[in-house]
Amino acid sequence: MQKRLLGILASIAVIAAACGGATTSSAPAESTAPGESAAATPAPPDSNLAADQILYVDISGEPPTLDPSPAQDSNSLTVLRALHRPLVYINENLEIVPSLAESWDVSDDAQTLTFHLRDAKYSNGDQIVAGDLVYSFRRLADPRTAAPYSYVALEIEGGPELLGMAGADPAPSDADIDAALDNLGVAAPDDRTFVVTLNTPATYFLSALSLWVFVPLQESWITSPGATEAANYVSSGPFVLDTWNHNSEIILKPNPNWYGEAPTLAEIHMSMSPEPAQAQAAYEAGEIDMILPVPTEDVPRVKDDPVFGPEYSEVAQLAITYYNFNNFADPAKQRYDNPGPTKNKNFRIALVESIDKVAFQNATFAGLGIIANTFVMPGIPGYDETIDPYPYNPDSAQEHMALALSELGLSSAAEIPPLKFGFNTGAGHEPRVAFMAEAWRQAFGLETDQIGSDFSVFLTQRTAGDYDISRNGWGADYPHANNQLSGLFTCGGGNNDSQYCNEQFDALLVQAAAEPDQDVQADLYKQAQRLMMDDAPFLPLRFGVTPVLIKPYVSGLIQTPMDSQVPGEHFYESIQILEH
Amino acid sequence: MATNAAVQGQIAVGTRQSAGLWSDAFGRLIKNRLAILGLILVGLLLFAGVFGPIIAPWPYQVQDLQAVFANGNKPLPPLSPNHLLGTDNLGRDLLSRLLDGARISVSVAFVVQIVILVIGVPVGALAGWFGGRLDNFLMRLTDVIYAFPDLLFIILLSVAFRETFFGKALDGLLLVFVAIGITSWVTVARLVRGQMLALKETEFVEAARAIGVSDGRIVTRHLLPNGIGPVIVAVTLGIPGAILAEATLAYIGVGVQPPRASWGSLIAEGQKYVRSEPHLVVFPAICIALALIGFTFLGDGLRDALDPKLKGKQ
Amino acid sequence: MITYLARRVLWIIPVLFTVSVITFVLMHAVPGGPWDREKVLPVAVQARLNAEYGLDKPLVEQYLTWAGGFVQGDLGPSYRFQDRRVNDIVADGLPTTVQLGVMAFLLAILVGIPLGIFAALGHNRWPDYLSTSVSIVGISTPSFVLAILLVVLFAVQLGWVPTGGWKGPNYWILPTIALAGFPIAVIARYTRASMLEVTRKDYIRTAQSKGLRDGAVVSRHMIRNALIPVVTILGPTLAFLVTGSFIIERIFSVPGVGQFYISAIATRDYSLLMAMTMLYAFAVAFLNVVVDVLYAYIDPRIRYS
Repeated sequence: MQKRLLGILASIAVIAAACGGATTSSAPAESTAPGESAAATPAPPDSNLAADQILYVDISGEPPTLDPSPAQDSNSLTVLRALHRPLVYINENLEIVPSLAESWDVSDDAQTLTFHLRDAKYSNGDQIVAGDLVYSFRRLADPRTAAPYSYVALEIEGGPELLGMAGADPAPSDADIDAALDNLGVAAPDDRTFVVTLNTPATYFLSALSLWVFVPLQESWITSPGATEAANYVSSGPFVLDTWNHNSEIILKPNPNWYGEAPTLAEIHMSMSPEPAQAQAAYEAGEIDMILPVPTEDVPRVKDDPVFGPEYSEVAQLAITYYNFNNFADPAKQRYDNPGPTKNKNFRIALVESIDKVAFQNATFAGLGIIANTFVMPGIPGYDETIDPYPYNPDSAQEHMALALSELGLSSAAEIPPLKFGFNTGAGHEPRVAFMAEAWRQAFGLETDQIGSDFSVFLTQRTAGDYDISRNGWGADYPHANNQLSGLFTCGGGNNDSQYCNEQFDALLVQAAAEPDQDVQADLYKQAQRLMMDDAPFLPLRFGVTPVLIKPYVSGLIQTPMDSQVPGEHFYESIQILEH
Repeated sequence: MATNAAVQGQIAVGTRQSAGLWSDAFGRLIKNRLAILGLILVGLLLFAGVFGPIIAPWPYQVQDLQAVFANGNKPLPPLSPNHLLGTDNLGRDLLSRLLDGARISVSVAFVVQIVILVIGVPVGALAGWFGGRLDNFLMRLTDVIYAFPDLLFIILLSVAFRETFFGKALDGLLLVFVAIGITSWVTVARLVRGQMLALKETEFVEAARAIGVSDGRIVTRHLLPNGIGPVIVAVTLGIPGAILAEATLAYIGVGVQPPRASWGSLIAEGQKYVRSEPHLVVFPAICIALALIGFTFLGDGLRDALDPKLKGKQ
Repeated sequence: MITYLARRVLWIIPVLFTVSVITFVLMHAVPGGPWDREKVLPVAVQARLNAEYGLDKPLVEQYLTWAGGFVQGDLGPSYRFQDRRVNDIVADGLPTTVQLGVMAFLLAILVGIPLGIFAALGHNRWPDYLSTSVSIVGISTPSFVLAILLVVLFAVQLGWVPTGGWKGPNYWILPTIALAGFPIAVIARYTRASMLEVTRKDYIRTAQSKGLRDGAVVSRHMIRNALIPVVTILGPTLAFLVTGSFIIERIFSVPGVGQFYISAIATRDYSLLMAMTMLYAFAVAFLNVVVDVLYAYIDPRIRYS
């Protein structure tokens, strides 16, 4: 067990080490061990390619939208990644690589980014011009688009003003919005040059530019009625939307006008199976070629299976499983005046120290994962595996609990009214919550009220600050520590469901965001995490490792730790089907 | 002539019914072997419901994690030492959880059926007997109830009442029972109404009316006993139906709060393991099937026993 | 009869109105909203979206806007599937759901009623036990378990049919069987009970005593009379099958609308949820009219005025 974990860790180290000089100071030293989760398989010779280059995958449900600007759900993104490409892209080693932009210049103050575009065309044959990027960036920031990811435009000059208009009461007039849009720091001096001006030297912005929301959009297309239907769709990436049978199937075909190397695949068929067990069955019946993730319950069986065992692998993901403790530090939230015991630091430490994370992972995640003791994920600069202030230690847990109880003026944990332990039902969290609750009950006699709710009710109450403890998870949008920490643990942050607030921590994050030197920046993020984890504001459990099954004839796959629905979904164009 | 004789017989039967209905019925019931089997199974279910947690080898929430880890992180199979029916992935004893779940499932069975009978039979009888406007109104009401968004209702109730006694009762399931009951009495009501409509036109009812028997007496003495067959079936089917409705809700994510488990939530959880650890779904399903067999045979037996015309037959 | 029918059909309007009000109030009273995601949307963006969809207006005004659209046949924009109108979503999925429901209904009748009759005729002998056993297995196996078992056995192990999807007749087989499983068992039980009830009726005894051959008695009197209570449950069963196939559509990835009846609640897709509820309410109310008419047809004793 431990050995396998090390293997995965080492393979991540390989990824991190390959990230190129400056960014990898955080990578664990032993980067020579071969990893289990192969990031990329070399392309085979053309001779044994199958005649039918059709890939069958599953995207687990109808994409809510295929309009890049408002898209946010993973089954939208997995399709959009085949249809569009932004200026820069993140490769399998989490490096920033050119995509639509051939090259770029960064000004000395790191506030002006100038991109030089390729000679590229849309699927309809029109030239991709820098003006389309100006339009696309403005559309993202436009409050009338109400894009969930519009916050990534906050760093662009004029961005905060536009985002402020979104919730303004009374609503601003169209003229005011248009004027503000004109002030957004994006410009197209000529058709092949695109310039972004930032508010601050936000060094992570280049990383954020790899997001699906920053792709070129032809205004005449996206504003036309039914733009996202297959018949009208205009793409700028390696594939075109050939068919969209709603709620049933999407078929992609190569984009003849794409500027990159033409894909070998002739078609990609994407089915939509909301039930994981059915998708798993479809793989075993040979109807689909890959599945991500394999349902946890099926992992032991699949690994032991003579046929599927060899097709099984595990891929690290930029994701973390953690449980919030309510720190009750946000005056705007419910129960600020009526906090529970989790406001007490020693109490939180006792809860952390009494959880055996390895046992938790083995029992409820089929052993999959990398034990997490902090937040920034392995592979991202700022990850620090040496941070572990409160390892599993039942004796120390008792001492901390005794301290906490005396501070709270109680004689035993059994006197505490049942803690509200929130989670959402129907997503496999029940046994995990039961594991925690039973561990705390055994250790301290602490009772919990396990409140399973409908997802939306759960999110509403978690955000409102109703729970003492609640489950949580985070997946990286782009591989930068800023995306992991700010907003999640900064005072009053939108996703700060732990209600953690430490001004020193906030100041370190501001300092780090503006730091141009990547090594120094990574160190600042580590320093900030060390400070935060010392307060035990939440219970980190595991960094994601996803079980996948891939048929042996699927070749050329480039898997990244950011794949969420389909293995290799960032680089469909490299996939080939071998004879079988 | 023949009609008259039939009516006479009917009325005579009606009179005799009141004299020794229950002792007669009981006498017939215990002669029916299947009904006895049903009675035994229902008795066992009730016993498990009341004493289950006491006879269970483990408390329902205790986790034998070391055993699971020793088994390669997999749930223990049946016939493991200390765990007769095996465990789930946390090492919780399946037999103990089934015994504990029996209490919840027994409650489902009875609470829901009581709600259904208390509302459904009177509404159906009234609608069928009086007809006209009342019938129309009650039947349109049932249309509304049929289309009632019960899932929304349950979610809302469970949020609104979570902090109250009502919401915490039976580990959060009382709300689910009441919601299932409220939305399922309609079938029984329509069934009773259908029977009423058919029976009130029969000769024996017309005859009873002709000799001046009151409406209430005709309904309670003649129509209900004569139309009770499908209702008993509805109720005996309704019990496992309610257990399954609870399972389906558990599958969607509404219902009993962990770490408690009902048979339904055990099946819903076990369904994910149906391919690798089938015992997690098979045993709860067997429990539900046994409960169903018990109620079905008992129901059939009861119907036969209560049927006045069956005397002397079989 | 015509006036009766007209009145019954007109009654559907107040039924729909009542259901729409109840649902509208309930769905807005339930905590949460369509913009809930694990990653919280910026408050300003949520406010903007609310304004765009009119969620910032008073509830009565929102209802009137919805009702105004509904009577004109406009079901509004979907909150979840932002590129689409609910009208298009329903138009895409409804035929599939109806097809699946009707196929399962026919299967349930064709198997369930004969099974019940078979059991009743062999009352307390092996046909009865066989039928009862089939019913018990059918009723005590939840559809989500039955569905997965069917997939594993017939699609994965035997490879006879696909695991999911809806691209041709071979895709129809498993979902239809899985959906019909429970109704088969229920209909068989009701038919059996009703048949047994009827065998004890005086007119059957009279017919028997007059020397009518068994077969004639069975077909002419018993079945016809026995089907009356059975018909009562057929209406709701069909309505359940047509719209309540959430689990089956989900497990077999069937592109129908049944799955939205539940998923629209989970995603707080208000307009889609209202459309689904209205569809369901209409189906139930309409099928009940059909059932009552069937009643009169089967049972001449019932008269409508």
